[in-house]
Amino acid sequence: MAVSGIDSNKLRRAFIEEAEELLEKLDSDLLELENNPEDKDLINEIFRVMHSLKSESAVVGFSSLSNLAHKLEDVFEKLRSGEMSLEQSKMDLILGAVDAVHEMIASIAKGGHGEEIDITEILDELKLLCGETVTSRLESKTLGETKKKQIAIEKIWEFSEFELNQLKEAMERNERFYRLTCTVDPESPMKYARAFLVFTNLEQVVNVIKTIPPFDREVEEDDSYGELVVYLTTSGDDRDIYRATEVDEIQKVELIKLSYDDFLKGGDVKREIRETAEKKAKPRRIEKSSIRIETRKIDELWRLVGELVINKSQIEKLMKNVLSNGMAGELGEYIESAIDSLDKISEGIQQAIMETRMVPIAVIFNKLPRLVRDLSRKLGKQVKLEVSGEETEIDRSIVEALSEPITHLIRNALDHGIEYPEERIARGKAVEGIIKVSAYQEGGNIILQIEDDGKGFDTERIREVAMAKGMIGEEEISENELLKVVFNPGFSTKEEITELSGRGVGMDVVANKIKEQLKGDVNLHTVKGRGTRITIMLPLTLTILQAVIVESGGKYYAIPVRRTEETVEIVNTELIYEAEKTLYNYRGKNIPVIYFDKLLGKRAGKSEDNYGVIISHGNRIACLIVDRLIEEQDIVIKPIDDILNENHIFSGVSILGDGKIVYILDTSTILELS
Amino acid sequence: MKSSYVLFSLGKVKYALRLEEVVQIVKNENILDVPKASRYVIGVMNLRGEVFPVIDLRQRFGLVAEKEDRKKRIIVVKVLNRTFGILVDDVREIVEIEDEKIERSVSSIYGLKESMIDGLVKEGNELIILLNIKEVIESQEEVKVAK
Repeated sequence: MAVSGIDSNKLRRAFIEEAEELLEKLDSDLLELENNPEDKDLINEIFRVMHSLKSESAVVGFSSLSNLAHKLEDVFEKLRSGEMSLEQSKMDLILGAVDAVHEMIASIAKGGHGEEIDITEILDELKLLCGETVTSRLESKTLGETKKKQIAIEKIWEFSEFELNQLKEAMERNERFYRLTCTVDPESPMKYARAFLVFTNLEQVVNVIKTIPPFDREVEEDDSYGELVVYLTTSGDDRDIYRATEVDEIQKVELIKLSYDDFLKGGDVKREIRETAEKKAKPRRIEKSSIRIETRKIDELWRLVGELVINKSQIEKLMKNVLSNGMAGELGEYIESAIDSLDKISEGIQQAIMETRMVPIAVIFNKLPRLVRDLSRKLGKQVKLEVSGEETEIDRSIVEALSEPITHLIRNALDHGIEYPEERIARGKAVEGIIKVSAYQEGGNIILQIEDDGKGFDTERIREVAMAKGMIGEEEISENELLKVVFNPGFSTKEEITELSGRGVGMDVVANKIKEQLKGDVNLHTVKGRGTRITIMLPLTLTILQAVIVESGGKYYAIPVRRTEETVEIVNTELIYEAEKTLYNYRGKNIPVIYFDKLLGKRAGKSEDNYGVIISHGNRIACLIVDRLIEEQDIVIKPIDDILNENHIFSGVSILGDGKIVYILDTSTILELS
Repeated sequence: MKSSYVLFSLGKVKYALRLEEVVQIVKNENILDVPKASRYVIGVMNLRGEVFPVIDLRQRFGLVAEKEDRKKRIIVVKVLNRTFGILVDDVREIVEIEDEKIERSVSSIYGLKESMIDGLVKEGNELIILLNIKEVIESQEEVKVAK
């Protein structure tokens, strides 16, 4: 079935989305299966995934992928029936085949057909695994017991949803249902051509549901057409069918009437198995009943809700005026209660749409077991991965950006943190190292922790290197301060891998991604010889921000609440004036003062009483002086065009209830300027 | 083949922008100035929830202001998914121009560089410059348009 007539791009996108959803849990399921090879639920689940993948890709015309999924389906069918057991060597082959599936889908996503990936070898190995002969299939062509059994299995499993529907329709049209088997002369050099002729002849006179081998895929080896099985329905004369088979070198023709029930019930059996597989799925697995919505549409909804919220506050303000002027008269009470409901409803919509943007962090965590397995095998280390909090929800817009630093940190922990088995034994540690990955929500933040029980960072070496690079001075600094150096750009380079045992390689990239792109923070805690814990803090969503609105020079600005420590009233006499800078004593510590109007290139205001917002980011802290504090409120972040923000002192803009535009301060840049 | 263009003026010179690039034409109101932005960005405006920069084309072209600001118009354009407001003296009309009337191979004119011009149209003794607005916005080059 080629993709034509329909919008093939749309189909392709839909297919890829579907496939990715199918494969989402496959990797972790497979790894779990490796540990519990007997787990029938898991086998059923994987079988189901392969089956769907096979049918879906066949419908869209990606025959190569469909073939591979088909073979994997066969393997799991055998595992399911207990005909085959699962050993390590088989597991490796299966994982390799699943990798090929991933590669093919990636290639299809890029516009290919999946055929670019060579799977001949994998297919052959899978076929061998299923007990099929690979080079010559002549023997299996004799209608022996095995073949019959195979057909019996195919009877149930081979019919796709689409074909079953066709069958159902034929049944409703009261057509008769047959299986036609034609045997081509084994000596014939052109079995495919003969079989194909029969097939095209049949298509003229009956309704062909399905052929084995199929003709809508790549041509298989000629010998596989030595026997053609055709499932067909017809309301016409049976003689037409025989006439259609009058082709040279067709030796034997067998026409058997079939009962629809056997096959359509087969469909039910299939569904039943599917359903029980779903029912039996362990509760900790996150099952979701869902429909697919393009993220673009959700983003648009989200934007509209932002508008609604702003508009609502405008109306509220106007109505307040109307009410306080007594202009509303008797209607006042009703208006008030109507606005009250409007408020509740819009809040509800906002919450609901925000939730649709959230996905469980499992979408990232599910990839980790495979990563740890492969890497630890490669390195010859023994590592156990413990994952918790995978149900924690994060904004889907950050999934991609977050995935990379997490993988990087796990790699680091495995590569440089966890010791080799002999070293661990020598140190009196358990042979198996442990990497713990956890996620949870705390207030408006998502906290992620990656912890290993490896050798930890060598703080003395960090001190030496940092000093040599001029990143820290001679003065004594706390270990906490010292560890922050690791996140500085250029702290550790590849050349120093051995020296520094590689810890810190790429940490600056990780930190940058988390701080700049994800507006979060990252922290390092390490004990030499005992292990390392890296904590990542992320805002719950990147589009709604709790902000302090301040006024400076007659204009309003927004400061993210999570970057503020406190707001204070400041009398000028409280400030400490030094030659170069002004300081403010905040909780017994002198911190730098930043005059916001000066920062914006305006003259400093003369007002006697100012307000200070204590802002902090990482290890920096300062007192930002503004004219007035307005209020604290949730604002919707809108991106800012680069042309407006060459100095990066703003991270975005927002619109307040009265339609006023406010700039959102980028506290990290501002603190760096202090 | 004909295409539609938005015709506007800056001093005595007439310019045109392709209609597909234009989102809307609005009054010069409610612009919030932006601290520390480049010289010719006069501020931001909010149109149906989208906040975007407004560029004073006079300043961009190195011209002094001649007209009261409040009589000016802002042409909102969308180029490659970025939205901008372009402050111009006056928006005249929407015209249809035959493709073959457009002279494409143009060297610099009035001090405008070749890359900023999409073409020239002569209407009687009037000259209309079809602007490549994307280049005008993105180019870092100083422009000094002759009076």
